[in-house]
Amino acid sequence: MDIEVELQSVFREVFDADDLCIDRATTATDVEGWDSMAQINLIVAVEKHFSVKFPAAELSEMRQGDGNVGILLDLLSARVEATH
Amino acid sequence: MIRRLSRRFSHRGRLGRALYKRFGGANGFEWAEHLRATTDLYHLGKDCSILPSTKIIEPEYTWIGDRVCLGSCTLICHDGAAQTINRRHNVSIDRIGPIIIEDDVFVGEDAIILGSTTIGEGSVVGAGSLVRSSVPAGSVVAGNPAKVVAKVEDVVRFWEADTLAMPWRHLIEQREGAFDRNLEPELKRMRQAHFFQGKLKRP
Repeated sequence: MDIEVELQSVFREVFDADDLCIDRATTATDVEGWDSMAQINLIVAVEKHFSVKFPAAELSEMRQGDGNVGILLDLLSARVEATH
Repeated sequence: MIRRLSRRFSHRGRLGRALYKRFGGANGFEWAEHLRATTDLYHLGKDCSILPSTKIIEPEYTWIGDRVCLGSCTLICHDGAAQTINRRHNVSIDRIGPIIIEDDVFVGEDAIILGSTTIGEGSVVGAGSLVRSSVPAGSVVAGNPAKVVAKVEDVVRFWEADTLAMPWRHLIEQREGAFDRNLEPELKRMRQAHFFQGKLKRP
């Protein structure tokens, strides 16, 4: 399955919103309830779903990008490729 | 002078305590030791920090473990409504329960913890939370009613990553403890420059 589609299902589960749609331009301000704690839970859920672990430098990059989904997708794709 | 006097008489009844609280300038660790010596706390572990502004309404039903840090929070073991209900309904209800705060818990400003609750080891209670039920060990709780919003182990990983990205991280690595008088001016300068880039500072 496409990573972006799978990622969207993780978003929907974490934010408990069945109709939530994300794209590369989505940021924390676009999603209700996406605060600093939700960001932590989101990344932990993403790691669990894709069986990956982001190193500190990548976590920091995601945080600085205001939760930009494009950054998350790029880092996730690279990590999935490296891991599997 | 006033500070020294208030400290000297801090153990002399309510007035002594009030003076110490007002003028003694006690930090959290000193106030915790003062409470250990002067109140009926059921248990107070070692290396605790309790701000003088913390309200522990029933110390005799309050159990506090080691290295606990309490901000200006309120701990209430009893339910004040019981007395009114008893009078109105001509009943004799007793509504009181213990508060147990296990080791290495942090409680933020203005949090309220009610009786019959246990705050599990290593948990963090966010500022302004109202804790009505027990908190599992290693949890971050926030809100009213307080709910688990994250696991402390996850938060630690993310906060470490955040700190690594801070321009002043080399100063944090040098710092001993939470505050270093020598490093503070440079830390403040760097933080302000980072936080308020391009914003005018008052003249």
